[in-house]
Amino acid sequence: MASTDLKHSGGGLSRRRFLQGLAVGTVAAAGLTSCAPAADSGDDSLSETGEGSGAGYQYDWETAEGEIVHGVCPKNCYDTCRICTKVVDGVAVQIRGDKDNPYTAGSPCVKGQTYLDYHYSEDRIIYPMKRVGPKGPGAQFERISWEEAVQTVTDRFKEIIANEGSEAIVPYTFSGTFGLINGCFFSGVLRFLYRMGASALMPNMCEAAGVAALPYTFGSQKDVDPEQYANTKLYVSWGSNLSATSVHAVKYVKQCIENGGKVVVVNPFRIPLCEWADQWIKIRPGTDTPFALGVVKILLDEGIYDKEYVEKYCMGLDQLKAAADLWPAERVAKTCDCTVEELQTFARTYAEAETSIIQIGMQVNRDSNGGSKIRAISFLPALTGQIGTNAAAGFQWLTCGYWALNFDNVSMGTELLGASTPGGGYVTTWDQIKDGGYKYRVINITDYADVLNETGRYEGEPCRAVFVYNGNPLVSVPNNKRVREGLARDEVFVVVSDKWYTDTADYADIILPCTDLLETEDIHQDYHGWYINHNTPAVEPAGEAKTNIEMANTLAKAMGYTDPCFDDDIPALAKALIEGTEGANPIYGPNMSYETLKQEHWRKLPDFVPYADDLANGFATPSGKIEFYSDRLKELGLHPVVEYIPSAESKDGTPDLAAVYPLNFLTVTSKNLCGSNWHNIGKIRLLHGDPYLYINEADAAARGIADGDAVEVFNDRGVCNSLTAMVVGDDVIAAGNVAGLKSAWPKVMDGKNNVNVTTPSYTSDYGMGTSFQANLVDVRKA
Amino acid sequence: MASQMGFLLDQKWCIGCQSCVTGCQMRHRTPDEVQLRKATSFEQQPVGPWITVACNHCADPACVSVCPTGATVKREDGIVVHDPEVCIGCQSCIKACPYEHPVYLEEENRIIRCDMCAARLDAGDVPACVEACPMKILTVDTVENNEAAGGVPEGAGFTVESTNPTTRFIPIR
Repeated sequence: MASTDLKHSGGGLSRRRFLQGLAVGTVAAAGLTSCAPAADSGDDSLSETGEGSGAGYQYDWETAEGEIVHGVCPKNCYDTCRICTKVVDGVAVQIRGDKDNPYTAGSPCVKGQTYLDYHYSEDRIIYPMKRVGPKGPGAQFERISWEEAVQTVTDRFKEIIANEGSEAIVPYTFSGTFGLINGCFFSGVLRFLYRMGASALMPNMCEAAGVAALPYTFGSQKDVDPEQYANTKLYVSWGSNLSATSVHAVKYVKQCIENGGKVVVVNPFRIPLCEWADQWIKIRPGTDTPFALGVVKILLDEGIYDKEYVEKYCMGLDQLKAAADLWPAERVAKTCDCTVEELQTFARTYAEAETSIIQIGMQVNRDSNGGSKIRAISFLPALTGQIGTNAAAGFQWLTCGYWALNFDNVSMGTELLGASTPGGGYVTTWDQIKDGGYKYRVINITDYADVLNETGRYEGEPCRAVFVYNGNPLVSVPNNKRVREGLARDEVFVVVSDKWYTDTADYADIILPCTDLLETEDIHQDYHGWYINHNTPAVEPAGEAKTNIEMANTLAKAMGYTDPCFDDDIPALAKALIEGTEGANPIYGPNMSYETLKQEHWRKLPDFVPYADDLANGFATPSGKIEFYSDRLKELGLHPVVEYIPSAESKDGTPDLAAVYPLNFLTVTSKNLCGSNWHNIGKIRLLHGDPYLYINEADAAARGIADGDAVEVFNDRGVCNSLTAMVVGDDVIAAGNVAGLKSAWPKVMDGKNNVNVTTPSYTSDYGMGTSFQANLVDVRKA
Repeated sequence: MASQMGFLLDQKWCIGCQSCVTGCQMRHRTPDEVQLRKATSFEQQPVGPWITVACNHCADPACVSVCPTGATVKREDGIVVHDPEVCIGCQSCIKACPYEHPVYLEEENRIIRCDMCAARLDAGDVPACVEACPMKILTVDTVENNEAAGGVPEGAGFTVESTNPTTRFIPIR
């Protein structure tokens, strides 16, 4: 393991060949002879040894006695792979998927396969560092002690609290680990931040609009089990690409087809499922609401909905009819760039299906009208009686509705902040935040560029320190050029806890080294599958890396906080999270506890039909029914049914802007990256290659762009200059739309900007989420 | 002669995710740029079909006959294996293979190849690439069984040259 005192991080990361280092270094130290291939017999006439001889590469680490440690891939991913790490004399030598788990089934994804590279990378930061010299690309760092790092950080925090107030300390966290103790949403780090009185961050990067929207229809959120995709008669993939984001679920779509089911794709951009789909409709980004209302109108006009079900379990049909009547098929076709026939075929196929599941992708809700879209889509399974009637019927958004854990015991928001952690879709509007009893300023990821620059909503509110953990805002946050400007401000003190010299870390005054998945105990719950999991640490932390909990407790004590909560370790937090004071939620099945989960490693929720209880006992809405009409939405100033408000940047909403920037820019997830994770890992970076801009041949021709040209995607916010044009036909993306893969690291692309210099900071209609998809651009040859 | 072993790809369901590529790389501890299994990506090629290939463990392997030291040999079960301690890095096998398979490791002056994870198969385990496939559509079995399952010698993006490759593809239907 490298222990250089001065680390240069500019100009791209060097490609480390840690595996060779592992072979001759750590494994040799572990008493193994070599990792190099060796034929077992040394006999060079292997052909004579015959079948079953063992001839072939046999690696010492494979035959060595070792311990198998059960863990979980902790990234912000739908699938949460169950993994088994083989440890020989304290060294992790192999990571395989846990074959016993039916969902991830022994096959980590293209990225997860490389975790040993990740863990043992010589690029890992394993000691505290302080910056020497200027902030920004090429920043230089020098190793310091934890004592000095903690002293520097807390001295500065105390000074800021005395001068500008505690809220001038601004956290940033998203993804990194998605562990429920060390992670970003409700983690134990929040105790420290809330105790200090730092600004309270709404981590609304991802799913806030949809999470906010669904309860207005159903009262609660109960998604189908993805393993049930195999059993449904119609699987609708709506604005989603499981092949990139939830690769283990795709086999259930395969099984659906093999069982005679149909597949329909609604997506402006081609996905692998289009190979098998009975229908693929490329609706224009941002227009899901009119499309869904157009479907509703056909169902109602043609009487092809479940009248008995709607009569019994739903309310507000007349008002829904009035909203849908605004969307005759011709108008939908014109607005959504589809044909009347496509809409009608979809509606009739959907109505006819005995069972159906709509799987809604995250990109649908990352729009200024994202909550409306999810609400509009939610009417479809209700009208067709798919809610509560069959395990293989309904919708899949994400299974956070089943995260029945005591998050507030971990974050201590109620006690220290005055209310539980804000955001995540559990609050719908800023007015509710203002009335929410939060003791300290609430800020949002969506317009984080404004937080850093003290502009917009945050005008006049000082930002003097940024505390980044589990995150890389300089890659992931919209309006990224302004994020960079904010971090670059001389008066802003930046602390980054990370494993890597990220683009963000180049702006750090102090870097605190954190542990990784093989070193950190945590509890994880899937957000696609129905599993809760325990991650057992496999090896000791590298160097002086600390878990986020150790880091937060250390900082809290150095701030002078004597609260006993800062003595809680991870097992104590895990117990409080799962069991609380009353014992685990019965949703997890019998005898669930921290100790039980630790022994079982993972457990699936017992089978049930989502919303079947609600059919029997009433939905958790004010009326007890599925609400097509919601008084609560009306009270918040939102349309009580739903309405089409065009995206904040769109042909319909901002025609003048669309005349200047005529292309919708879809920024989509790559299978090679999870958030910004893995772009610095050599094997993945080589597979990923130069990120593409997918552009229709008509749009390319109009701009003199040829396949393979370097291009610039631009608008008033910035110029993304890291993409190479892939000129494609209508079978990939329609003219008027371009797509680019998100989350690439500028520093591994010679400092070139990624897509997020162009993406906007608009706040979504419900839940205050992001609006990455409300992004008009133009493209030119570089 | 035992039955010849071979890979089988049910090509309709390959989604171009490339998990097989890194699964293989990690078992063989290859340098980043060395891939013993190559696969197309749905991001580099948005329209399918996609394909994944490694060594084809040919019935008449050119790599074996040209190897001057006997480092590359064919087992009774047809799997082509390689002894790195006998390999002199002459790269004759690379030149002879019509499928661009073995890869030269410059630093070690030897080649490295797919051996169908023979040692794992012998231990009752599956090859790393097979295990990595999230769709469960890349498998190994005898060619006889793979053909009985509908496998044919050519797939979309794979044409048979000489040497009788044993990889089989279930055609896209």
